[in-house]
Formats: sequence, structure tokens, C-alpha cells
Amino acid sequence: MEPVEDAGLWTAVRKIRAAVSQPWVVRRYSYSDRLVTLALRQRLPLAALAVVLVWYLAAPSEVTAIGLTALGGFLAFSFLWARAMAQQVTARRALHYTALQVGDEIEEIVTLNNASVFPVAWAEFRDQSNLPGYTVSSVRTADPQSELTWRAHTLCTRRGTFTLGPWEMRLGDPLNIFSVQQIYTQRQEILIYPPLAPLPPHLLPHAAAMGTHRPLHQPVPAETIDAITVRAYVPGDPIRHVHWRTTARRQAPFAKVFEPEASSTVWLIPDFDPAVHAGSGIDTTEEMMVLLTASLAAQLLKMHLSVGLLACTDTLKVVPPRAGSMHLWSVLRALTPLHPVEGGATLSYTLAQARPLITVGDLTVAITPAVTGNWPAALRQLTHRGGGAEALLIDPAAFGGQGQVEAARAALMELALTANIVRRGDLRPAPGAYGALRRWEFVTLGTGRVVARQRPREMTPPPGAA
Amino acid sequence: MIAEESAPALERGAAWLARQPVVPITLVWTIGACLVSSLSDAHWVVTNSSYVNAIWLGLLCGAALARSRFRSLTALAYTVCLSLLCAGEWVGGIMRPLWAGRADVLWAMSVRLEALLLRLRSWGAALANRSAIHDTGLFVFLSVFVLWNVGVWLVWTLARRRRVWEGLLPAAALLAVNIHLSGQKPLLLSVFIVAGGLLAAYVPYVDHHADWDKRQVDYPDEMWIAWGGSAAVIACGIALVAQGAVWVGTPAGWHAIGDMWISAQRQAADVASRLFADVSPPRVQAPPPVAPGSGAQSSVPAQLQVASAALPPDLKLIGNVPDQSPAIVMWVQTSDPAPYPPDVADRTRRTPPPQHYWRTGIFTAYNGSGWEPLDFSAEGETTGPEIQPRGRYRLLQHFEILATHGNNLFAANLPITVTAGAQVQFSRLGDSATVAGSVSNYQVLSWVSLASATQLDSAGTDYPPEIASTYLQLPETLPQRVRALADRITAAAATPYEKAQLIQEYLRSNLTYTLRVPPPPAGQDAVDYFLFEAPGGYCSYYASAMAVMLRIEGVPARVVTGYAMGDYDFQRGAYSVPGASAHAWVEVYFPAYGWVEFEPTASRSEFDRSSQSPPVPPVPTQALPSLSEVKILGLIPWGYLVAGVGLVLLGMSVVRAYRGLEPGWNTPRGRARYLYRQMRAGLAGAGLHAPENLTPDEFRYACETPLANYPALALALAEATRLYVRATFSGRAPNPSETGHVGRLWFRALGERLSLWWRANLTGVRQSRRSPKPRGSTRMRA
Repeated sequence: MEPVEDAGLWTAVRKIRAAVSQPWVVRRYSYSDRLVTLALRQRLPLAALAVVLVWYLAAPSEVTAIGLTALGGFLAFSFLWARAMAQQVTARRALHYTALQVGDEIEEIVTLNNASVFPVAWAEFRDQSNLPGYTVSSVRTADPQSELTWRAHTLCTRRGTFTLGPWEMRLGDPLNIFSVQQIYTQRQEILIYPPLAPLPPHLLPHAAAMGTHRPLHQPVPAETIDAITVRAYVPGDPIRHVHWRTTARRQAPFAKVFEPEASSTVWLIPDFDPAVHAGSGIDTTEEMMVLLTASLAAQLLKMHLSVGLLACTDTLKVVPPRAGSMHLWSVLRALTPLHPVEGGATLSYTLAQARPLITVGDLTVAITPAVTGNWPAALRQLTHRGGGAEALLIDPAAFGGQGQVEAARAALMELALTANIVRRGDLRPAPGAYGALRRWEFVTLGTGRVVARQRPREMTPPPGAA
Repeated sequence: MIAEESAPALERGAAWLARQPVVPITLVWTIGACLVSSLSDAHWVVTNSSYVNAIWLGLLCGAALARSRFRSLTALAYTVCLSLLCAGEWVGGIMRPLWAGRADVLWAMSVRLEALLLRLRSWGAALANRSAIHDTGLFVFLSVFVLWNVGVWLVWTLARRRRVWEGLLPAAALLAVNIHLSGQKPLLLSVFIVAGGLLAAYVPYVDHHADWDKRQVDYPDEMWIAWGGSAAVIACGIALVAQGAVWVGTPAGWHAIGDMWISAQRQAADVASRLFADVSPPRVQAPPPVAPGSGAQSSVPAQLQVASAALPPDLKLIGNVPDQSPAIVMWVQTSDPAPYPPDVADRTRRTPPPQHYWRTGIFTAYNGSGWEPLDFSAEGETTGPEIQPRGRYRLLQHFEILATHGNNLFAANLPITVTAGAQVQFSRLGDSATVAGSVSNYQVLSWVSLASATQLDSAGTDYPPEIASTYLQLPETLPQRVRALADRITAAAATPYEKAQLIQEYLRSNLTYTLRVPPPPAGQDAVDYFLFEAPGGYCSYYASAMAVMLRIEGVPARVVTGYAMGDYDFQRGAYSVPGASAHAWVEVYFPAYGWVEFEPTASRSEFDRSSQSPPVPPVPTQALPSLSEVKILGLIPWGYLVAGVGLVLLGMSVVRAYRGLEPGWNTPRGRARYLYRQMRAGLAGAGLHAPENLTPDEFRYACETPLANYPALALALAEATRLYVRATFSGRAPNPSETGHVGRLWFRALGERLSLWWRANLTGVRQSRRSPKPRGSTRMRA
């Protein structure tokens, strides 16, 4: 039993020691943008001050007076210094541009304002941003009654949703007796869109069936009023497409499907099955697939086609087909945060999920590095309703993967499906492809009126993130 | 060629030096030097003070241990063993034969080791028996052990544990205790504070850099300027303030302040008595009578008392050991020139000023066991200060008694006049006088002896009958052997002075001064006991023996008590008289010269009487300056104060000149701009900042809410803004009366400015909490 008591005793001793070694919080300040904690790091001077005070009260002498003054002076000066750091030193950071793509430079302006009469001996910024390669963590000094501004920047190399902040600033007095921690709790989510690349013509979908090399149907600018059928509602469908009678009858939302001659729709279905991807870092089949998907969407939208996106990671992500250049951002916003996850869906499953959404005349483009599996059959089934289907095969061997892409292409062609092979190096991202995002663009109408065609995009959280 | 070869070596040397932690080494060395210097000056062990150098070995050992792989417990065991060995070597000197190059080294070392073991055993036995240990080796042994380990701990905590305060505090405690116990000046403590403060800043500076390097955090290279500069200013400032705290935080400082208050009171009383000479103060109820000598009559405030009471030897019964307290009893300032500092006096062989004793009691009749005090109840006459007696000069003394005392005050030899609150009491014979009163701060003028040996030798024996009958009294029970001894000592003397000199010389040379003497057995004559049986004696015995033997030889003599001269304090310009100066001495009567002091006690220096008459010190023509004035003048660091004030004024002038330097600054337009800028700077100091993009009017609007409770300040700002806008953007320049009006408004708002500044900077109430602070730059180009 004694060892247990010893263990308990030692545990208690350790707990006491840990509690003693922790900085002693003296004061907390709460501001609208930050929480400030003023803590005593060195408790020994305080204990020594108490001892000298007792000595002084018992026997005042020159030595005790000097000792008391010195220890009290060090503590008081350090406290005043730290208090000024806590109350009168502030920092802020401002993001220059809120719309970014891979290849862009993210830039923040960080400002350190010191309104106190003490200089800032050191102010350490600790940033918990998760943007790869980016941080404002650094150490700065500032003179009394001054303001310091600097620029933090880095090149965006990864697409995705990232968070800037929370961050904190640590300060203290030169003697390190007190410490100040200012925690800035606000965080800002940014989206870094995937890059775009000009696509060679042979990669663009051409026809709804083998052998017909005519261009795709040109859609009319707006949907007709002639709906031919209904299908289950998926998130993203406009509310005006809801067929209320069917919805009421079946007690589930249903959307109208319009006449096939009136629209030409391309469904982009990237494959986020983790088992089929290869490569490391940013040189992967996954990034190539996303680049291809984004570029394809941009190109097709520029051709005035309706483009929809369907992807399945751990959940199904659907962007209903829509036309217009503004729709590109919906596609990209949906595409940006997608990554393969363990246990994610295979392409066959994804294509099966797409079946209810495909209507007559729709073209389905599967983008995948998978060279094996039964997904070609699933893709072939999507053509049964009169639509077309194509596959863009990314060569996994070029990224260190395995499999013969030519064999896969042959298998697809045996199923009367068009297949194109994309190899490493076929696509080169175009830097600044989203340059329009950062600037204003105006057009002058025939009436002489000037309207904004493009405006700098403010950061908006992706749908559902809030 | 040599230069080419030496250049890389120099570069390597410089690079090596740059890699060394020069700063902490220097600071630690400074701390070690403070300890060594203080301990050496303390002279705890008179024979050998080299043991204090053990701290250097401790510092080196600490550095080596910190660089080793030893863990804490291993290092602790290592340093304890090493320090014990070092302490043993220091005390026993076992290894010294090695350095001496002796042939029988092993034998000598074994003998020394055995001797050390014997000493250790004797210390243990003494500790067990609770008996005194007279061997200073134990002190040296423990001192070496402590110093070594303090040094090791200092370096270990700095280099390994990175905890500065843990390492500094033991060293600081050691230094403080040593300074406190040895009574040294606390200058070294201030040096320690500066070095410790810098060290306390340096270690976290290095630690932060190491942490940032490890985490690859970018930091500016010039950071040490702000950090080190701030730490240096803090450390030096606190050390200076700590020195100032001695003045306001110690009894001596309180005493100075009390003196200042008393002096002011006295001056006010003087002025009042002069202005309202015929106005009687209202009668108040008299305080209850206090027994004389109880100390309660002292007008000195209780907090100013240093020694508990003034206790001159009481000779009514010989055998009471005089006070040996080091606490200060009184300060005495004289009209004599100040003595030279000891080093100057030794170097230049200059004659010191005359020696005086501060007398309070006079004893006449000897009864074999003690003396009877002189009766001052009847007032007599004495020689006035206008007529200079032979061999005497006037000495003005200013007494400031810190301890409680009775009605008998102090004065040198023959007091004549005294300041208000005290009075001179003359003896019935008119040959003696003392000062009585309840005051603690008074000035007295005395005739003091300056007679040379030649003059005293030729004084003759024409004693007044009253003197002879009083001061030649002896008890009938005085043993014969005392008389025989006195006769034998003075057999060769022809004059009273020669007799006095021979007896004084005999007592000083042949009897041992000690305080550890048992009191005389009951019924035995005290002088006989001292001269023949006692192991020694102290001043009461010496003085009694000399006075009795002189009376045996027919020379009038008496014993007097009081205090010896004390030590001269060069800072205060006065003699500090501690309790240990309580003393009894002898006065011998010489016709025409009066009573002259002799010093038979061996522990004190005798009075220096050259054969020729020494030059008479200047006659005091005016009252001595107040001791409080002297002390305060001496305590205030005038040089630093003046320099500091001058620097502040210079800095303010530079700032004002810089702010005012712009084209046309002396025109009303420039004046209006300057006023506005001054106002903006003042408001910024109070927390009201503005970004550059705010116009002056926008800034004024932004300040309306924060200045809602400061109407005068808001008005001044509004007027200054209006004037500034007009001066800057309008072709109509303001006239001097308008700028003067704004200046007056700004001046009238001084109270509100201070209040605003106080709230913003000292109470933590930010203006931004009452209204959102405009974000942006702190300065606006005005």
C-alpha cells in the first residue's frame, strides 16, 4: 500500500510543482478584438521582496532599504512596463486581396501600434494560420509612441479552404518578470482556387455520340417553359425549378427537367477515389484532375454551355448545371476544398449517384486516373437515356502510379465511349488566369452608361461553411 | 609576410572572442568582484582574508559543471565534495609543501593533514560541549564552502537552468548580510544591482533568441539596442533610486529629515520670539514630572533615537563595565578644523587637531569602592569668554544627542555659555562647570586646554587651598602598598606634571586593558585590587588608580566621565560618538592652567602635548551651521541632481526648438500651427491619436465625446483647430491676439490636460473605451 501512497504523494508534489511553475495570471483584459493576459513569470523576486520587507520592518538599515527599493523597483517597473504593453500596444492585420488562385501571392499588411511611453522590446507574433508556407509569425520591436507596418506575403501553392488566424502577440518587459499575451480570436477563411490551364482542342467534348464530330448544341440563353419530366431535387437547384405539385404529392422535393433541345449540358465528374491517385506534394494525379476539371469548366462556360459538377468524397457534392461566366465560381468553390478521403467513393459509385441527375442530351465527362475497375460500364449506362459520355484519362504512370492507360482507353472505346489521355506536362497552368478577380472591369454600353463588368471579389465563405 | 600570416590568426581570435559569452562573463565577474571586495574589506579574519577568493574557484567550477553532462544531483554531489576539499586545503594548507619545493613533501603533507584532522576533531568536541571555538579556521572553512557553492550555484543556474533570479539571490543575500554586519557603505550593493539587473535581462534575451532560432522565427538584428538599453536604464535608475532610499528609508535618513524639521521649528521660534517679543504663549497644563535620567525628557523624537540611552560610566561603584554599544549616541561638531583623512594624515604627517573629551560627570571624593560626584547646587563664578586663561582657547561645540539622556549634558573641559534650553552650572569653587538641561540639540562654548608640556611642567604647586583640600582627599583605608607603589613610580619626578606623566605611563604600559575583570571583592580597595591582583581593568580602574596615586603624591586630581571624542564623519562634518566611547579619564589641576585632561587607559591614545605651544585654532566668530543642514547638504547628490535637471531642461529645449523650427515659426501663422501641433502632441500623449486621413475638423469631431468631461480642453482644441485651419488653408492670417488667446486657453486647460493624461496613462482608463479609437497612424502631419 505504501508505494501507492508514495505515488500519490509524488503526484501531488508534481501537481504542486507544475502549478507553481505556471505563470501566475495577474490581470486579464477583454477587448472587442482581443483577450489580453498579464502574467507574472518570475515569482522569486516577489518572494524575495516579502523577505526583505520583513527584514526591513524588523531592522531598517541601509542594506534593507536598498534591497527593498531594488526588488520593489524591479517589480514595479516591470509591472508598469508589462501593463503598458498589455493596454497600449495593439496589432492588426489586413488581407490585401481576398480572391486568390494557386500561383497568386497572398499579401497581408500587419500593423503594430505602440501608444505607450515604453518601447516594445520584443513583440512576437504567433500565427496559427494553416495556409501552407504562410505565416505572420515574427518578432518586431517598436519605439514609444510609434506605429510599425510591414507586409507578409507568400505564393499560394495549394488550392483549398484555409484559415488565417487565430493569432496572438506575446510581449514582456526586458527583465522577463512579467509576460503579456494578446490573443486575437478572429479568423478569416480564404479560398484558393485551383489554377486554370488552356486546354488543347482535342480534350474538349465534341459530340453526344461516337462518330459525330459536330459541335455541341448551343443552348438558349434562358430555360424554356417546357419541362419534360421531373427528378429528385438536389441542393443547388434553383427554387424556381421545383415542381411543387410533384413535391406535394410525393412529400419530397422534385425539380423540373426542361426540354432537351433547349439546353446542352455537360456534367463533369472527377474521380476522388483515393485508391486510384498517385504522386506526392502538388505533383499528383489529383491536382492534375482538379486542374483539368476547372479548366474544362471554364472553357465550356466560355462556350456558353451549361456545366454541372458532381463529385463524391465522403459526401456527395453536386453543382447543378448552369450557364454563364459567373457560374464558374460556383463550380470552383465546390471543387476547391475537395480531396480524396479514406473510404471515399469509387468512380463507379459516383457515376451511379449521377444517374438520376442525367437527363436526355446531357454529356457526361468522367475525369479519372483509374485504369482499372468497372467504372466504364457505369459510364456507359449514363448514355442509355440518349446522352453522351466521355472519359479523360490521366496517365498514372507519369506520376509514379501503376496501370496502362492505353489499355483503359481501348476498353472504353470497346464500349463506344470517347476517351482522351492526358499525360503529365500536357497542361500548363496559366498564372494570373484569375487576374480579373482582383480588379475592376467596366464596359460602356451603347447608351453611354458605364457598368461594372468585374469587381474585386470579397471573401465569402463557401456555402454551408457558416 | 608576418602580417599575412597573423591576419587569419587575428580573425580566428576575433571570431573566437565573438563566440564567447563576453557579456555574461563580465557581469558574473562583476558580481564576484563585488563579493570579494566586500568580504575582503570586512576583515572577518584579520590574519588571512584570501579565503574570499574561493568564489572565483566556485565560478569556474560552476562553468565547468554547466558544460558537463552531469545532472543536477550529480553536480551537487560533485561540487559539495570539491568545496569541502578546497575548504580543507584552505584551512590546513596540506598541499602547500608541494609548492614550497621541500624535500620531505610527503611527511610534511601527512603532518598537515593530521593537524587538520585534529582541528576538525576539536571543533566537533567544542560544538558538542557548547564551548567557544577560538580557532578562526572554522570560520574560514565554512566561508570557503559557502563561497564556493554560491559561485557554483550562480553559474549553474545561469548556464544550465537559465533562471537568473535563483542564482542571483543567494549571492545578493551574502553580499547584503556582509555589508550589513560589517557596516560598509552600500556602494557595492548598487554595483551588484546594476550587474544583476543586466544579467536578468540578458539571459531571457538569449533564451528568446534561441527559441526563435529553433522555431525559425524572424527577428530584427538590432533588437539588443532597445532591450539592452532599456535594461541598462532600468538597472542604473533603480540603483540610483535605491541609493536615495537610504536617505528616506533608514533611521539615519529619518534623523536628517527630523533635523530639518527641528531646525525649521527653531528658526520659526526665533522669528516668532523676535517679532512677538512681548506676547506670552498661552499657558498649558504642565506635563507630569519625570524622574531625572529616565530619558523621557528628551525632545528627540523616538524614531530618531539610535542608541537607547546615553550611559557614561558610573563611578559611584567601581566595577560596572561601561557601555560597549556601537550605536550612535550623539553627533558633535566643533569649531576646530576637520582632521585629515587617515590616508592623507599618514602620507603627509600632518598634525591632527586637538583631542577633546565630552564630559558630563565630575567626581571628587574617593571612598575606596567608588567616587562621589561633584556638587553643583551652589552657583559660583568662572572666567568669562572675553578673558583668555593661560594655555586655553575657545572651542565651540554643537551637540546633537540621539540617545535619551538625563539632565546632565555634555561639554568639553570648562563650558562657559550654552544656547537656549540648557544652562551652565558652576561648581562652588568656581573651577569647574558642566552643562545641564533637557534639550538634545545645543551649542556650547568651552575653554579647552592647549597647554604644552613645558608650560604644565613649569606650572608649580601653588594650589588654591580649596582645590587642595577637595582634590587631595583620600580614604584612610587606602592600603599602604598603593602609596608605596606611587612613591616608587614618581621617585624620579620633580614636578607635578612629571609625576602625572610617569604614573600615566606606568598604568598604560604595565596593566592590561580588559573588560573581563571580576568586580573587586567586598571590602577591598578598588585601586589596590586593580594595581595588584586583578587580571586587568578598564577605564574606570585606570582613571581611579591614576587619580588616587596623584593625590598620594600631592597633586590635585579627579576622575571625570563622559564620552571620548568619537570618529570624524567626513560626510557630515561632525564626530560620531558611539556608545562604546563611554569613558572615564583623569583631570589634573595645574595652577593658572586649571584642569587638564590625562589619559591613563591603555586602550586609548594619550593627549599629545608637545614641548612648544601648538598654534591656537581659530577663534569661533559665529555659530556653527546646523548639523541638519550639513547632513542634508552632504547627502544630496548635488552634482547628479544639477546634471539631471540640466539634462532634462536641455532635452525639453531641444524638443521645443525642434518642434518650433519651421519657416515662419515666429509669425502668427507659424505660431498658430505650432500651438495646434503642441495640442495634438499633448492629446496623443493622453491617448487621443488620429490617423493621417483625418482632417483637423474631423479630429476635433472625433474628440468631442472623449473630451465631453473636459470643456476647457475641448474649447482650446476647437479654437486651435479653427485657427490652424485658417492659418494653413486661408489667405487671412491670424493676428497675434488670436494666437495669444488660444495659448491662454491651452494654458487654462492645464488641469484638465493633467487629469486626462492621468486617466489615460496611470489609471488605465483609455479614451478609446469611451469612443472608438480611429485606426491608423499615430501622427498626423499638421
